[in-house]
Amino acid sequence: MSRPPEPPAVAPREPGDPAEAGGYQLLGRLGTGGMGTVHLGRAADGRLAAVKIIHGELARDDEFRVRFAAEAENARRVASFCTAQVLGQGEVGGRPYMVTEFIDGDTLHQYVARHGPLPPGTLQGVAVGVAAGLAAIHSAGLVHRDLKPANVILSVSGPRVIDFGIARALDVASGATPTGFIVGSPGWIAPEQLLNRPLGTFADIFAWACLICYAGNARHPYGRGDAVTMAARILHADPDLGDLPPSLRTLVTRALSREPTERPTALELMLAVVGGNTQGVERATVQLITTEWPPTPAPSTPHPTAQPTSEATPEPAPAPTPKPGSEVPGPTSEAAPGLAPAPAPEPTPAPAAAPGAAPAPAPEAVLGPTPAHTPPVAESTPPPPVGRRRGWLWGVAGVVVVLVAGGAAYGLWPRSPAATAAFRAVPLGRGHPTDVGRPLHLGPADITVGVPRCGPAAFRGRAAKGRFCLVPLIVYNNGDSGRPRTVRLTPGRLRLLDSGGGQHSPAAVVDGLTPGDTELPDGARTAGDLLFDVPRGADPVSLSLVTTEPHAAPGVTAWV
Amino acid sequence: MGVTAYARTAAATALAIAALTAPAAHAVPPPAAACTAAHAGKADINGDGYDDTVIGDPGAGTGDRVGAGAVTVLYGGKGGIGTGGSATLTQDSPGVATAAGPGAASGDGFGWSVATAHIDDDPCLDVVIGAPWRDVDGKPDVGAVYVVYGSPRGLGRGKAGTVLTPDTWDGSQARALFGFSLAAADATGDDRSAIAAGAPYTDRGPKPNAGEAYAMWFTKNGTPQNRKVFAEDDPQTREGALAGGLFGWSVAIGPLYGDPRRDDLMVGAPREPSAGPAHPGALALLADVSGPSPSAVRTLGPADLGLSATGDVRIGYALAYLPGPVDYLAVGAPGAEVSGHPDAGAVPLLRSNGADFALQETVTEGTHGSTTVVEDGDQFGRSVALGRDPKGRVRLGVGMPYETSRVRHDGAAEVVPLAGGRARDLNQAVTGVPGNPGESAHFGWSVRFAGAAGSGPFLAGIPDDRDHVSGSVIEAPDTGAPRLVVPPPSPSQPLDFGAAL
Repeated sequence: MSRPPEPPAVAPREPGDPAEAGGYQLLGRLGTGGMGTVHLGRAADGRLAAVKIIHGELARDDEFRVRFAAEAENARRVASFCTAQVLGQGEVGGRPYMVTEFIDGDTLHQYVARHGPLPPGTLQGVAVGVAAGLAAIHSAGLVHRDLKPANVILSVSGPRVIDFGIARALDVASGATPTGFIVGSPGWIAPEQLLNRPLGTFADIFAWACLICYAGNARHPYGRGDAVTMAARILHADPDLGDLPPSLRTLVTRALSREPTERPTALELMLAVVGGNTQGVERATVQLITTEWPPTPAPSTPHPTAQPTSEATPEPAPAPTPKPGSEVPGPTSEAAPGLAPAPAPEPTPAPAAAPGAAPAPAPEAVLGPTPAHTPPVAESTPPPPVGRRRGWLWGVAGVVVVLVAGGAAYGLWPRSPAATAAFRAVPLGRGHPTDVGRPLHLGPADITVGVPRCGPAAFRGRAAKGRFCLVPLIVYNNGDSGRPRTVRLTPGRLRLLDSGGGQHSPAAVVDGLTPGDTELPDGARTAGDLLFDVPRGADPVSLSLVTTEPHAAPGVTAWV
Repeated sequence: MGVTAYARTAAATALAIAALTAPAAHAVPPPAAACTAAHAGKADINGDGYDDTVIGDPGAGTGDRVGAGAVTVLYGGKGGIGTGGSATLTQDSPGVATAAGPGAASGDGFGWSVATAHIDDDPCLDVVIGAPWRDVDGKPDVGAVYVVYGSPRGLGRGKAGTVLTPDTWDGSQARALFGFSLAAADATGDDRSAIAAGAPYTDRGPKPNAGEAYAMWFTKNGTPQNRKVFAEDDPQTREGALAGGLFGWSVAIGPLYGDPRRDDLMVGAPREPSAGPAHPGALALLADVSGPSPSAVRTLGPADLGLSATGDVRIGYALAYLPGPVDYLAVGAPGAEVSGHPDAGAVPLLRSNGADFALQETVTEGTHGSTTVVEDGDQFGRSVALGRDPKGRVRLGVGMPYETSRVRHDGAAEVVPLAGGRARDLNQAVTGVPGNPGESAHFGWSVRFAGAAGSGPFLAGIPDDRDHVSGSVIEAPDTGAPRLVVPPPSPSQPLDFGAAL
């Protein structure tokens, strides 16, 4: 038997951390995420393991217990050579834990941050290894859904893909996530996920391509920015492939296709990289899940207000240094690269930047969170570049996706004589169903958006730069779980996206809503209009919410 | 642990109704001719001889008030529901609005709950509407219940309406959500017409969200006569209710057991804790509540109702009551585990046998020849209805809005003939039912049998119909093709039409 490896450096245990779990002595913390803390454990025989213990407050939540159990189950289904093998699970002090093989090595994120882009040979090796991992995951009937550099460990045996916190079985993949609510890490979410279309293994292929770009250039192909900006670019902008070796360039381009079925399969990727055959990858022939894609609207010239700006264009590579405060070492705790978290502990004025971002978004978490104390984004933040596809249903990570601007007219219900009489309902959907009028569920929060109305350039003494649009919003804490749960509504976190690519935070709230935080205890419901200033010639296409992982703030279980 | 319920202290005695009668409202037209018995049908709001139908939309906007809510009346005619015209009422409408305070406000949720009965003694059916997030006296979400009277000119077009709010004697409580659930009963035996209303988020001392249920009786003129408030309390200490039980989430009123000439109050508490960590929920049956104190109080848990005690059973999430000759009570338990499937849902059915009652059966998916399949999370019984078909045979309607048939959570409903025969399964994937199954459309969010004593078509709400932002309702008559009902044009902006029936 080989000599047990030396334990790597870990952060010390904290008060309240158990000393032991499942026969493993806990040596210290490897990292902390939204769901739990990963400890380094040592068995009696000296063998090391990673022990993930669910957070105390989550342990009381049935929903999270189910999720955690699913993570373990999903990881077990995957061949152990390409992921961290599950060694056991149980409960300690009422908190569920999972023991996995400890894989010694940097994550791809850590490695690139320290050493810069991978050299071509290494890059090819990582490309094959990660593709092999995906092939194993997909053949186990799973979609990983959260492939990103922080979830790839460069081990002596090759890259391992870890963290099945939000993986879904394929047979339920089209419906496992509540509609309108997208889970993933900003910048690593495939277009079909952003559009809330049925999701298949091809979503992981898209993330693979982003990951290879990142590894080869030390920057994300869609640049950096907050979740909304990243989503806009993924849907509308062309990727910047940087300096990839030609052998990978073609594959990556195909894997970044916005049409999921035009992407290669993991197996094809693997064979293509190994065999050097980068031209002959056939269009994927196996379509695992019916993928619907909305028809592409006719090309149109970008709206004058929607010109690309320097901030919106993919940026030159940032220096490959760790971003202070944005990361906690450990396999589950890194901020997604490509985001631009502000220096920690300062509250940041940047939209959707992390609130003193430690701990950074967990892998299963949703997006770069916006703290309540962050001022709302400036009106009409620089829009993303507008690509060939534009003006379509807009989804944004972690977010409430709402409407589709388009032809088929919604019945215009004249509003009664009131201040809003001059507003007219915007047409919805072009014959496609939208999320308008049905509740989207975010934890205990039911969020319903009504039919947006646009009209005058003046409203209640305010003058618009463009024209004003009103978006009705109803938020209800359904109190269904029985456990007291609070919903916090902060209108400043909501963004309206327009067909010109602009993003807008509310200029004002009308009636029942208040501009600051509103705490909604069990059973409470609030409603009102959000007022937006939208450029002339552009239509509102969605209302988005950038949200943190539930429980990110004490006592708050959904943050709208 | 059992639970008793008793009338709150002084509430058991005849209580002065706290000035909730609306003064004549500003916009009310002059009273039309009185409703006469000559033509009126039994579920007839305008006395024209045709049964009328009421549909709630708590998400509707009115003016610039988002989510204030609206209620649509579809007047019956020769061609059936809605062929006699329609009216959409808000809190600003004549016969609803009062001079006592401002009209509709954003988020009130008017139409979250609806019920009908002959509250006054004319033959025109009256409508009771809950607005559980109505602010009262500056306190948020206290809740209000509106009694709107039928008349030959239409709903609310006769005398002024009545607004009920939680009692004023110990002060209305913020976020009580009075009117979250509603039931109404015609005068029966010794009792006048009655309304039951739940306030499930009422705090009882230090126990948050313990809940209360109100029973209110009305004079022949339809004005409030007396009222009682009930809450659950710990049987040992008789102090403090059980926190978080949500007693009053659902209510029903009418004779079931005890004295057949007196109303019983039936109350769901779907989060009622048990002795252990579980929250199975409970059903409280208070006999003869119009008397000085209930003659009997029974609290039923999973074992009493033929349900697995695993998980959150959510007993009493919905209730449906059908008065005699034999009285029935259907109890929705959408969290019930069935054959190992969590949240599959079940519907226990209680049947009166005079002075007492018995569990007749516990209906689940796939029983009575239904083709539905028991699956995780279907939530069968999230909504329930009872009626008698034109031949007087009792039938049960059940909604399972989280059923996945064609697409995720498109929802379904079924009609179970309890006397025998095959259940009828309904959703938009069924041939002949108009519309398309939609993801999270929640078919069967609400269910009801239209007409007097539920003798009319079966109605199933689809408040999140993907083809209609407004929401819609499927009307399925016993014979003939089902029909899709969408909100008629009105100044309101419909959003959750069919959320309440």
